Amino acid sequence: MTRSGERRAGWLLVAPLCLLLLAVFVAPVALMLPTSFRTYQPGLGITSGWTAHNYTQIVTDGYLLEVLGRTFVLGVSVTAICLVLGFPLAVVLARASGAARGILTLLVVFPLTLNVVVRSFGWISLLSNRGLINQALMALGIVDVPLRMMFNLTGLIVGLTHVLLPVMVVLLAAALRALPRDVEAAAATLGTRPWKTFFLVTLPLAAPGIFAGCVLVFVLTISALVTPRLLGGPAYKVMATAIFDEFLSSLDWPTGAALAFALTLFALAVVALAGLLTRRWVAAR
Amino acid sequence: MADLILRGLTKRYGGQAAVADVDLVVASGEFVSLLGPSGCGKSTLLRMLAGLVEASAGTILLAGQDITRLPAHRRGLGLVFQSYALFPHLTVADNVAFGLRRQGVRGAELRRRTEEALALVRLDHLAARMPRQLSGGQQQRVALARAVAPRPRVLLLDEPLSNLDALLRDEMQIEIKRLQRELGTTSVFVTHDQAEALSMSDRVCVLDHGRVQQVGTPEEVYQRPANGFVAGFIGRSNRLRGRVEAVDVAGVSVVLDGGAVLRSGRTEIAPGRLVGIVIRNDAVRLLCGASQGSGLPGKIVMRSFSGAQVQLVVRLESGTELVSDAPATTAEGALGIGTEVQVAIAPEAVFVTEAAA
Repeated sequence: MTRSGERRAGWLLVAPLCLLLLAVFVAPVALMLPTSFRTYQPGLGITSGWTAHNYTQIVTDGYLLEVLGRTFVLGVSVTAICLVLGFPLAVVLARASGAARGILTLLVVFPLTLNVVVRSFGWISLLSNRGLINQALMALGIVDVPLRMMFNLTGLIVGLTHVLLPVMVVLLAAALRALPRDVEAAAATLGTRPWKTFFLVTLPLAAPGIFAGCVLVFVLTISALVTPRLLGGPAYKVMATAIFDEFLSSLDWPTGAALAFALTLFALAVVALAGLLTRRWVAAR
Repeated sequence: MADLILRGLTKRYGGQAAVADVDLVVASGEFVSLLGPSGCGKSTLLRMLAGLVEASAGTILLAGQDITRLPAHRRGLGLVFQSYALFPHLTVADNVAFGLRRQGVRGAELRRRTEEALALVRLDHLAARMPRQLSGGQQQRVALARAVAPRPRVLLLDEPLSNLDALLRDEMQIEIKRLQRELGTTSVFVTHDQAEALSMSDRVCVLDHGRVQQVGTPEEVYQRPANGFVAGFIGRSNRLRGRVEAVDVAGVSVVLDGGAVLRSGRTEIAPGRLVGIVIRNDAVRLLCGASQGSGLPGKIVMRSFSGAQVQLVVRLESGTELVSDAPATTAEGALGIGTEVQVAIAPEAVFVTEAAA
């Protein structure tokens, strides 16, 4: 086949997906963008005027600002905890071979097969005021008043870390497996202690994979809906649950749309900054 | 610089011995090759020396110190990998400086010694490049500079030339040899290429199935191979099958499959056994002028010229074909197809091996 022919075949192959994305992703986004600049009046619905208030309120309204800040802290915390907990496991997974690797991969991925609602209820029965953990702590006399582990940041971090850890591990393991052959051995023969090899060679070379894993976990965390709703309750909101409520409870589509776009921009900004810092760090090695 | 002594060095994977009971002494400043086919255990042996693979049994002594259980980073040996294994995120200069930094060398001294090492492999002009911007040969030279910069007690080379094309390989052979001479570093060089081993080494250690088959100077292993494996592996050889017919004080008689009888100088194999026979091409001598001599009569059926040598294929009366390498400029090399000849093979050049391969 000629080169241009190959290219045409390539376009044809990706065309169905492109069309689908255009219809169900780009088009709705394009429709929502004007909505986010509309005014909303309770009882009347969306009115015909234009306003930027939906966006400015995010910065001026203390509550919305708090929700945005909370979402950011949640995203960073879950990502960091997944990275720290996931790295050793990813190393083991990357070094395993044959049957051991298959079994380990299955074990790591297995939690993903369980429905998020079921898992969240599992955590509720553990973390709530009359949950297993608090009952045990009180029975042992360690605490008098139940520890608050739900309807706050702790509960959300625990629940989302549990959900997203497999994603991090799988991506990190792939990055570690892609390390060039023998470079760690080369560092050792040049007199480098194992932990120093890790910081001087393994980490910088795995940086792109670590970055990819972190971005994905961060984005999935700040956009997660079910886990924050169940473990955070109706009052402790993050951006995703706030957007959900604006659309479906308040029916304030303009504010909901503005919050959604703000969250997207915010996520893109965080990812771009993280990318910049990663490149700086690797270059400084 | 000091002697490197291996005693009974063994590596077992499961029940299988990849390296079995290797004894070897490498003198200070010596260049020794570990030569063998792939899977003979030579790379495993080298990795045991480097500390990357743990020995199952035996000891490694370096300058009288037992380093068998010492981790790789405390051995002070340089290793050049077949895959180069350069750090892709560091510049050429930083790659070379890597080992020096671990030794605490800093500042002007670090710069001087990095430049010195790069100058040794004539790459000082590429110090600021990244490894991916270099050709394969250049990358291997950086790997060499990186390994020698910290002045290792022993330089280990794991098939460093096998990823390079033929022309570059010859160039790098000379480069490595020159560098080793200049620095006087004790070196152990792993290769499956007999020409490489013969041309570069002070001594060659031939390995097969994890065992040492012969250790000697290149001349010794080439001219006086210790057994059929070495004879067959080094140089070009005829491989035949036959049966031991008679054993006497002088050696044995072997009957080839076609019926021709050869004398072999050495063997402990009992009569009647099926055996493999290895004869170097250049040990097959062709005598012209048919009648005289006690050789086997035959006829030249093929002739191919390859520069300094001519390869002649002779068919014996029994039907067996033998290949003979003759220098192109001699009378033997001038023989043409169809010529009747007598084939003479010295008994000590006929190697009889256990398995009839």
